[in-house]
Amino acid sequence: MKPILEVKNLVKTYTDKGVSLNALDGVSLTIMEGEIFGLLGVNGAGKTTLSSILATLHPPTSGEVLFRGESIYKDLMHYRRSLGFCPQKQNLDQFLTVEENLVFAGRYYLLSEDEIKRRVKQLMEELELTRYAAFEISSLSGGNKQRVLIARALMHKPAIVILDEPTVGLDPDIRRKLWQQIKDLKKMGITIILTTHYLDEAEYLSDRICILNKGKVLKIESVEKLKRDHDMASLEDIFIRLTKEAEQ
Amino acid sequence: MQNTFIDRMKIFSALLQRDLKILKSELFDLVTNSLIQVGLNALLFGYLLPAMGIKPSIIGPMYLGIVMLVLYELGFAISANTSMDLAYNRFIDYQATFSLPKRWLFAEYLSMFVIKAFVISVPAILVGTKLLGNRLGIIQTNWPLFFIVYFIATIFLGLLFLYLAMGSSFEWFNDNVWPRCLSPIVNFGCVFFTWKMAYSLYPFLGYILLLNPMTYICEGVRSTIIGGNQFIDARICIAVLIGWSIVFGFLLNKAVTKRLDLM
Repeated sequence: MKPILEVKNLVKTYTDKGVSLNALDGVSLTIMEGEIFGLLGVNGAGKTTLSSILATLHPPTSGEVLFRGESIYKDLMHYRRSLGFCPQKQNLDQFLTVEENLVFAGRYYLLSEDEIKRRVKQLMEELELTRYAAFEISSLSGGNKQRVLIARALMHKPAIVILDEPTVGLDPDIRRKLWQQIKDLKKMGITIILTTHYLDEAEYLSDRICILNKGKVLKIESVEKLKRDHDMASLEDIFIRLTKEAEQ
Repeated sequence: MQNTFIDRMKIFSALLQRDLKILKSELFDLVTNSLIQVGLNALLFGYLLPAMGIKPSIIGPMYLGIVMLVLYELGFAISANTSMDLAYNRFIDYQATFSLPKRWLFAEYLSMFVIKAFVISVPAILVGTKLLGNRLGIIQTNWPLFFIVYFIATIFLGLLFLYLAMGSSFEWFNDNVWPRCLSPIVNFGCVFFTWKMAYSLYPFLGYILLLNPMTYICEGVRSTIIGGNQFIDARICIAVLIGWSIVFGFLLNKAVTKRLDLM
């Protein structure tokens, strides 16, 4: 597998009323083409900051992000077309129906009207949204909103999809269903960056896991290797040990 | 793939299409509301106030000032929606990840405000002018100049209201923006009287009112619809409103950078 994204020494500092806080403190990592890369950490670890910088929502204070070897900041607009972003907040267009949300997503990414029709039909089938096509967003359940969000991010066939806490607040059976759909995205060859604080989710879905703590990378490994190296059966125990060690 | 100017225009136009689709669904209510206001204003200014002994020469200027309030309220409603989106839904975060520079995104917000303002308030002005007829005291209407004043006024108001939405938290906006920002602008913005009336009463007050951009919106509209030399010249109003638009464009840019930290 080839690297698709390389993050080099990324720093993000927020300053409020003269007080500075490093939300990311020299993060470096490489994400390979076609993998599910899990970003794991407690609240405030820097997961959402990192994913929103990778989604180009915010600029880093310093550091570099390379997409297929080229800085994303050299041609930001081109990189954005290769990216689908599902933010933590379900920011769907409340004024449009499910189908209209997807149609407009296609237009924003310059697909032809024929291609839009085809993609909308295909994605609504794949994500089991067809019966909700004419529904207002406000009338959908949390799980269905999340599916629309994923479908919207996939409309323009991005190479990378960033899923920021995709299953927060969902019922267990809906979570399981979404997990399967995320696995299906990987089968399509899409690289997935998954931000989560659910250890079971990270373990089930991720090819490799990056554990973040206070803006720093503690470890990047596959779950199996982490378990072998630490001689522990549970990812939760490994996570607690690593974060405790980092505190000391 | 190069992101050309044409591609940006296509994304810009897709955003406009989306907003126009929403406007279309709201249009009946918006136009009905605006016509109700015009009807009531025509009744008040055309018949009741003159019957109560208000000087006929003030009827036209007051009516046009009140019509500008409709535009002002529209700006407030749009900025309240933006402020709420920033606090809760964050649809703007989705838009900010398009292959479109952020200036284009805010230009689209502004364009939509201008379109909405024209669609809703220009028919109201035309109907009101027709209903009130001679009671407005029209000397000579200059429609082309009116549209220029109106266009620049809507751009200024769009920038002002976007700035207020971006520059303050939803809670602050909800609780304080009307009494602390918008009410002083309206009450001391020559909406309910002409600038010359204020100046002849207290020259110092006249000078203070010249600092308020609303003065130039109201006086510019009066000067182009009623005509004569009793109002501030429309050309001066246009120049000052362009100046204020530049100031608020700069402030908006700073507020967006601080609030959204966009690329």
